[in-house]
Amino acid sequence: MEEAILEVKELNIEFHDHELPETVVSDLSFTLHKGEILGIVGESGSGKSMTALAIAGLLSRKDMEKRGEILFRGQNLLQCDRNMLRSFQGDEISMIFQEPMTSLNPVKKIGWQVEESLRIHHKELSKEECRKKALDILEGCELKPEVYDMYPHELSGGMRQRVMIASAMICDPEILIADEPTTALDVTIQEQIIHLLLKLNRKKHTSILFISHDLSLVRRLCENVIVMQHGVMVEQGSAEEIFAEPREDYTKVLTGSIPKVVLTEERRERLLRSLASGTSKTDPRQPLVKTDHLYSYYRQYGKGKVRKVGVLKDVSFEIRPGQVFGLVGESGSGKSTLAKALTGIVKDTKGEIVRPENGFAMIFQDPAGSLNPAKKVGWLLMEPLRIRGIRDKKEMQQRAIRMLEKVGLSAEYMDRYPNELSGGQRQRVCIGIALMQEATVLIADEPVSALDVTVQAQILKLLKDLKKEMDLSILFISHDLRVVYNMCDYVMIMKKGEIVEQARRDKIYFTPKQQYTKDLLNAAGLGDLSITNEIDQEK
Amino acid sequence: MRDVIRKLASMILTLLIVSFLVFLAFDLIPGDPAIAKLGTQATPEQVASLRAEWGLDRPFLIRYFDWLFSFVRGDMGYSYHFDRAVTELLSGKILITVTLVIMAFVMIVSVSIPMGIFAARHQGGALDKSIMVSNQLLMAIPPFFSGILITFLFGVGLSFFKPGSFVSYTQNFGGFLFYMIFPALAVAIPKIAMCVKLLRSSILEQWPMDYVRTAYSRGNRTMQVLYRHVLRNAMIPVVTFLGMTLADMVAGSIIIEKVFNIPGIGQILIKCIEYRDYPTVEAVVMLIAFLVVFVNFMVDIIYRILDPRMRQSS
Repeated sequence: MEEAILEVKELNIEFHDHELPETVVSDLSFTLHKGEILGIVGESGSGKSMTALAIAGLLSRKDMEKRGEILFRGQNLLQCDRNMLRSFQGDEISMIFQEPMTSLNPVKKIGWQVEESLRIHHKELSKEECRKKALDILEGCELKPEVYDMYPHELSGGMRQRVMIASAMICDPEILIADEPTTALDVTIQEQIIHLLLKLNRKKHTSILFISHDLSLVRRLCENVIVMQHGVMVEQGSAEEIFAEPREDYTKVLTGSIPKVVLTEERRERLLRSLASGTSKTDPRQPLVKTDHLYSYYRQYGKGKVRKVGVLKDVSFEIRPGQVFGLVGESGSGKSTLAKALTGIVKDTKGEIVRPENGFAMIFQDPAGSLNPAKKVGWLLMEPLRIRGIRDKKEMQQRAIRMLEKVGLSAEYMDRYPNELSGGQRQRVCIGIALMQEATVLIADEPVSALDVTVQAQILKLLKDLKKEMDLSILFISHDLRVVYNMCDYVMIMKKGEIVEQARRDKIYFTPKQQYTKDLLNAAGLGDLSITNEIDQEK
Repeated sequence: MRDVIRKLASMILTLLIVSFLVFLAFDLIPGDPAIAKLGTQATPEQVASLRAEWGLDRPFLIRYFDWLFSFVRGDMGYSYHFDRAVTELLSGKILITVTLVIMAFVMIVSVSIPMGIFAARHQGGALDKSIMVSNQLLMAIPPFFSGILITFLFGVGLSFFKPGSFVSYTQNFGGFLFYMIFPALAVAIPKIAMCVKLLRSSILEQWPMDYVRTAYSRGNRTMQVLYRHVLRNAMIPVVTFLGMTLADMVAGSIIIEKVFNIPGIGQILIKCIEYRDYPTVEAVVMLIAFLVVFVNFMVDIIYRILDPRMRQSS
């Protein structure tokens, strides 16, 4: 084992902004070694981000109490004075954050921001030397030198996160703290950022503290892992151990909540047979939803003329009764536009759209944002009934209560406001509202992306149960291939408004044809499941 | 650069529209300047001959274009009431009003920006609270009233200046500037209060932003975070406000000129409206319109400098 760089001893963080002090981190101890990548995993409220901020010296609220020791270079970062702390910040201990879109100053040039740590900590360097170093580190982070003179809004999310990494690495810090650095990014971009972090770790021997809720990501990146829950360390060990043989119950729940992607022997046989015969069974029933060579456009105003810009290009697909249709794509793939075109929100389309008789009901990604905060749950649940002209108050209430029970809540939630519910409960309410509309097809747009893994597993199970019980068809939009595998029968992959590939689920996952599908599977850590090679060998 | 040219073009178009509307409005308002000049006793023949002399008997559009072209050449027309060229009539007054507005503006910028920063830095402290309370009070005081208070306090009480005795800049430029401090202060006080409040809340709004945390993580001191990162972002709404204020003050100075007995544009505007001296009124309105449009143009330019995101859009 290499020497210890950072030692955290019995760290306690308490908030005193309410009557009773609230403990967000309690008795946390761990050691970060030179060149190590240490992962801290936990769900929201586990205290993982608080720990990261405390180490970076960014927790300085007056209503907070920090006890214990954070030892770096023989100094206790919790006790040493601000000047000493600042001399480490950006120079020896750097941090990158979750939101690359907002973590950079919007009115300053990229070069200026990347060089800032140099200007603060290495005053001896001339302007030219700073510039040279900045250009070097930008190149090291696989960015073009032109970026130096650009502003943040001119860059994509992935590029901005590279800029953040460049600005954090410019002084060759001992420790890089990465707080959910890829959560806001697309999977393929996420993969590139992870590779970049690994490269920097190997080249510069920087120790990385990697904070994440994404277990499969931590497993691929980190050597050692700390699992946290409610501010307490639950388990600590090598990543392989923790994922292969979790000792603690919570770790078991956590690892068990990751949707599994496995091909059973039976399904493998079936897949091989259908591949051999070259035909697949088609459902004789009429499709509920269908598009035929669908194109969609939006109007771009500017420079005096209006341009029609194509979003969807030649999209044809069908959803059969009872099917869970998975739609996978990164941002800009047109998956949300497709949902909007189906529901009629996007009107500028060309091509036939067949819609189900009683329309669509929708569930969105952000349950907090899609519920009116000024209305009680009961009122929200009854709204679809009111819109349909039902006036009988008793009947409406009864139906709302029955729906609450259906989505796993109880009658007492009728009088609660959305902000009194947890994220998972809110999403349950959203599902309830959607089902109250009595549509045959449910469009679920990233319904679990904003939720913690354990909650995510519960909501997915609920959706599956309801689907069976009420004979629903679902258009399930997601970027998460593991979740899609668990939910869907049929999968369609989109990129830049076009269909890349669509087929039965197992075909997509185990015998992907298109390179883009393979890239997506690789980024999700599912690349080695492909049996295409085996099939070729058998032939 | 192309954007700037496009902005300039739209600015000229705006001014043309304004000029047409102004001219039209004064044509439609009842009341004949010839009668106003000659008095109600005049015979119709006298009125008609004066109207012909002034060219009022020509069709509307011809009069408009005639007026517009001479305006562009710098000839603002002829004042019926004062029997002098409007240009000559206004030239001395414009300087006085512009001095008043500029002095007030300098006061607003130089007082409210440091004060806003200070209040934000010491948010919740005793000084911040007292600044906010006195702000609330000062905001509610209309300039003419603060003008009276200032006259009473600095003029009558402390005898810093002699109330009502305007010092002409041709006689004593220093004395003129000194006299103008007090009306400028009266105009500036409520605006300072508003600007302090706006800047303070704008800074506090920026403070929880992610980029501020990033700036701290690089080892910046609080003051460095404030001056190098936050201030420029926080100034964006303040610039809009300052622009509006500048335009607003030109109109607002009319009353304060009355209170301090300053022979500026405001005084003459009131007289000319009274005597239906339309060429002069039109000229003043056009000057104010030009100023407002120009200030807006400048605000747009400053916006582009402050916020790179503005440079692309449009």
